[in-house]
Amino acid sequence: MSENQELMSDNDLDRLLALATTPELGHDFERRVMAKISRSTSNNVVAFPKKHHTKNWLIGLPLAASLALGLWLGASGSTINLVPTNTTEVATTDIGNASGFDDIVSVIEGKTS
Amino acid sequence: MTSVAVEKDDTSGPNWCAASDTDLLSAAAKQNQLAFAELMSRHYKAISRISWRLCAGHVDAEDVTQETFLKLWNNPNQVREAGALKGWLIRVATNLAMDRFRKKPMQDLDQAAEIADPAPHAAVVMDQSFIAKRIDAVIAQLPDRQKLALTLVHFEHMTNIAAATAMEISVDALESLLARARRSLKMMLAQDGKLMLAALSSEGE
Repeated sequence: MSENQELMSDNDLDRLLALATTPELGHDFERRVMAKISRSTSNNVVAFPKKHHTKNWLIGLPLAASLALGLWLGASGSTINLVPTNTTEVATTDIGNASGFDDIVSVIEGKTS
Repeated sequence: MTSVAVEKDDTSGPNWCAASDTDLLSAAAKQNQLAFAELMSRHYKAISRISWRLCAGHVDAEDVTQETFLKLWNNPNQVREAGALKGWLIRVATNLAMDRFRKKPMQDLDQAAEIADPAPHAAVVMDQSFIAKRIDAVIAQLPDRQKLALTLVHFEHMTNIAAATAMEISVDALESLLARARRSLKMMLAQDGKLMLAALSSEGE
């Protein structure tokens, strides 16, 4: 209550606020900003490096052929035919008796029993 | 259609003064410097005054204003509507001002001549410039958001709705900020406010 009595009225506050400083603006503000913009514009213009599109098909063609071949072979399930028959037989024989983790050492050391 | 030769280049000198903010914005987005200069001439005074108030009269206020318009130049598409331009500029300037004084030690602010806060006493002649400095100093002590609300409504004469939109808050929140700002000012001016008012009254007589 007493605090409110001590405070000034809204009208008095408005009278004082009306006296607050109105800032002086730099007269050449616009010129300085535009100069900065011109500088920043000229500095920011960087040419993009040219991309070489001409020879891309030379790399793309064998990659595409390889992918197509892989898909075809995978789909037909015939990749096993590409490996020589002797090799697959030997490999199957070598590890034919191996039945678990402990046999790995035997296989590595050449024991087949 | 209010188009004013937006497609023309910088050298042909279209009459940008008659163009709407929308046309100027779209031309500025195409890096038209003349259009941007016109856009800036329409808004920089208000942004300068707001920056000045937020920076408490510090010399950084001009840098803040410049940086604000450079951001607009570099990111014109951030402002989707011309009607939102002023609010966008105010928000950018406010953030820049706050960032600056967050980074800088406050001694810089205290040393600024513009906000010198001499304690008034009876022997001091209370002319208007003295009172103005005292009022500026008291406003500078307000919290940032209260200061911004007071600046927009009282010094920039924006409506509560426009100020609330610019600050991205509700009108109720703005009114609350204003009320708190005015109360803080009254409390801070309680001691010497009467002296100042008395001096004003005696000057008027």
